[in-house]
Amino acid sequence: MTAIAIADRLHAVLPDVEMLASADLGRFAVAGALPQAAVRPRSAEQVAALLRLGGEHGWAVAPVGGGTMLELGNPPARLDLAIDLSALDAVVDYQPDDLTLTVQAGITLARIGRLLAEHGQMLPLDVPLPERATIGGALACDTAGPLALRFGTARDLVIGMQAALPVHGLARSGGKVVKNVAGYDLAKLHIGGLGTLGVITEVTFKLWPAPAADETIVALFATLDAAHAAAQQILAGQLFPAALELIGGEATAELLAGSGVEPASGEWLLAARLLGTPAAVERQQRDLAGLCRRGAAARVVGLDHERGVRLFAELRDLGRGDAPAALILRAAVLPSQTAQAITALQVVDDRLGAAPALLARPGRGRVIACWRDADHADIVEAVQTARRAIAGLGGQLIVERAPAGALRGLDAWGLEGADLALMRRLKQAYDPQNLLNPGRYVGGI
Amino acid sequence: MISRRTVNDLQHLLGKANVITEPDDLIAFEYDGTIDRGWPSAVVFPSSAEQVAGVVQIAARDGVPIVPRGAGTGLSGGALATEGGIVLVMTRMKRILELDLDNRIAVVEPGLVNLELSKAVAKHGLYYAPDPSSQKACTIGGNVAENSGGPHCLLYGVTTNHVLGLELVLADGEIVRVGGWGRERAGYDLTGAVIGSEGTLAIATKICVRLLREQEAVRTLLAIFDSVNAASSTVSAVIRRGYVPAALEMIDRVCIKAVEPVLHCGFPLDAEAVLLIEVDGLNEFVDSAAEEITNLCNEFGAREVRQATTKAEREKLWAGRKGAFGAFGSLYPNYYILDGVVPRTQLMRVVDEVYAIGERYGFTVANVFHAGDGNLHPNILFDERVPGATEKVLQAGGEILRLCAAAGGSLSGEHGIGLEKREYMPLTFSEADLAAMATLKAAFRSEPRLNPCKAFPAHAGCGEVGLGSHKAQPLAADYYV
Repeated sequence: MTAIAIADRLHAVLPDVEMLASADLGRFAVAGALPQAAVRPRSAEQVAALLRLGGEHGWAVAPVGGGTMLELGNPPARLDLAIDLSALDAVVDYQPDDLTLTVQAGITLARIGRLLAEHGQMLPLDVPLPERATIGGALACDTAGPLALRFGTARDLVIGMQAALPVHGLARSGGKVVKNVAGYDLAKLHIGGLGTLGVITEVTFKLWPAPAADETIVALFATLDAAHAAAQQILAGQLFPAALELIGGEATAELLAGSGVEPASGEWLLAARLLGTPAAVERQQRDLAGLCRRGAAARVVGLDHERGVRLFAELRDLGRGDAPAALILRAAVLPSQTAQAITALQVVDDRLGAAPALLARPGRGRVIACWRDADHADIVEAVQTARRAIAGLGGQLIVERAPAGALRGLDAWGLEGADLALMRRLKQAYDPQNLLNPGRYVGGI
Repeated sequence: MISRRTVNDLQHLLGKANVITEPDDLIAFEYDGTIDRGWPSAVVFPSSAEQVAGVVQIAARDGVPIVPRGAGTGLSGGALATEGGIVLVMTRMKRILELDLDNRIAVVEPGLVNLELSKAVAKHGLYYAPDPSSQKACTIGGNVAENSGGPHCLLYGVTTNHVLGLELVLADGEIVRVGGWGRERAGYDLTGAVIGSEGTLAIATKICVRLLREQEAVRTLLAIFDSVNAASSTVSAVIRRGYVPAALEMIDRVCIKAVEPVLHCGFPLDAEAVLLIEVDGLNEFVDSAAEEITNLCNEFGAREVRQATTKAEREKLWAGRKGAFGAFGSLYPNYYILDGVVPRTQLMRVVDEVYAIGERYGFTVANVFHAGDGNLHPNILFDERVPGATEKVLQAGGEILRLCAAAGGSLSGEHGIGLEKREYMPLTFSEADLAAMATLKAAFRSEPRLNPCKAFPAHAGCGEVGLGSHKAQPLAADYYV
């Protein structure tokens, strides 16, 4: 359908839904593809009505939050209508005394953070670019930050969800209480589902009390192996940092600029964030420092509170800030294989002739590598080689971001397994017309 | 209905000893932890995923329902063969298949008893966190089906927060591995979708779980109150002030009177309610947290706050909490337990109302529950031999469920909807919500094969099972041929 025809139908059937000017469409471009039209609904009911109308006409629909992760996934097979959820930004119900919060999907993480901070509470989902990132987008992409080590990911914090579904309209699962097994836990399918089964419209979270103390220590190691061994030792013990990040390559010097810690070239950095009561955090600082020193750390430095918070904000946003990386790869392996995964990505460095900014979560087996420049004829082959090496570890290599067109022919997800057939059955059951983000997800979904 | 051919093929697949069809033997499987009954046509004991798949294929071919079952400790009638068919008992599959100490992961079979896993890994300083009160008997497969909780789930989360992957047998007999098994994995969270689905989507044959490192220190408090209201408001205050203890449990007077004479766990017999509060973590944390929570209890009217000083004392207190249900037998022959959840700010009002409902129906209600989560466990005590008592109990239970729903809560925090609560689902879910859930069954193609007529309101095709009736499902005419 042409842009004019879509606009006509929208005007005729849903005159109350705000249409965005065609000059605004650029902000919804996905891998170079522009939608024919974009709308900004003001209620969950309008989102459901848009899906219904889309179904009648076979429009391919892309839900969009803050647009911070739009490049995640494969290029869309089709794209007609972008649904901008930024107007669904209300706090529906905040019960500080119950430690629960219900918000609409378009609210930003930063707004939630500020609201909760007033009550000494927090939602420990430290996703990149919180001033722009919306909760619906963060959930759909299942973005997780450093604090996932202690607090888990969105799946561990969401207790209820409403989503607009192509066939069923608005449907809820879960509820507003922190423990609930009534009905299927459909929220789990939308978290990380990249908006392919439905459009998240409202979410209820369980919250955490904000800690009284929040400190950061960093340790510098001469080799990756030494840093990794220290990390694994920390993770096996009882000190339980809230976040533990392993940083190497180009990133270290940049991330530590202004912190007073100057890493030597080739040094690996372990950064631990400690949350809790002052006495407990002090003990963690002391014992972790000792542990790192015994583990051959060249230096161990405590950052003051502000610097620590700033460092972890930069780790959270790595590759996605004002000068975003051209290529972001994410490897997922067993925690104990983190160093092996880092080594496996070396092949891409060799091909690009540049070292990436490397950030790993050794507690979760996640490695993120960001290159500023990915302009190379052999980049596809290099990524494929790295992917095979990660697959050899039983893991998965995701291309989180790449220059448009550069990775043509390379699946962004690289997911294999017998469960793909079951995932396709789910997609078929919930979105039989394949309207939602077609072609962007795993296995061609 | 089950045919001779079905039974023959099951016997051929599993061996005669692993297929039960005699009524005298089947009777042991007509009940679970609830007051309902359901009579299976056959009970089978597979030993491998391949055998489970084989049973599922035979059942699919012959149009026979399958009801997966662990230890039968379930509290919602989920393991009852209300439509007849084959009860698939997983208790032979109870091995720990892998233990990865570096990553603190275990792969276990579904029939493994919950507590056995923690016992097996204790020598490495590890444990499996979800701890249902029935953990000495219940299986991890059953926990997966119900998304079971337990006292320590307040801080550590329920089963779904600790399961990293599953091997599933689907309704057509296909064996599929889902989830990351310790790695992050893109794609739909099928593990999360199956956990808590009460055996209606698939049958788990392997379960990959996260193990936790034991904490350095634990402090267990017993706060004693002269009124339930004071105890309830203390719970709300603990949460409001920003403490998330590892566990926060309430035990009322009726429970104390049942438990204390039997288990001698140290609950004062003249108290109206006690709170069992546990904090764990580093030494530096637990001492200050215990002190602050003690002060808070005192502020909200605790008569006395005691701290367990030895491991033995601590274990005694927990034995009292976890053994409460068994001890009800000393008061009444039967109890009916519900597990609705309410917002924690509403505990005082709702608990009051629960007692009032019991009084209106003339029943004693004993409350022993996960107060910190707002997860009630009212136990209505009764004698099923009194004519009409069971029906009246169910009516009172229905009122309690309505009360929880009206308070903005849930029908079930950890026991599941199963058979007994399915007709109440519309109290908290719209038709569209339920239709969206039913679509998941369609995607798994599990209906009507896997645990039919459970967890959702009855529809055409679901037979009604009489309460306490021992309606044997007749064998087909050709059975004795």
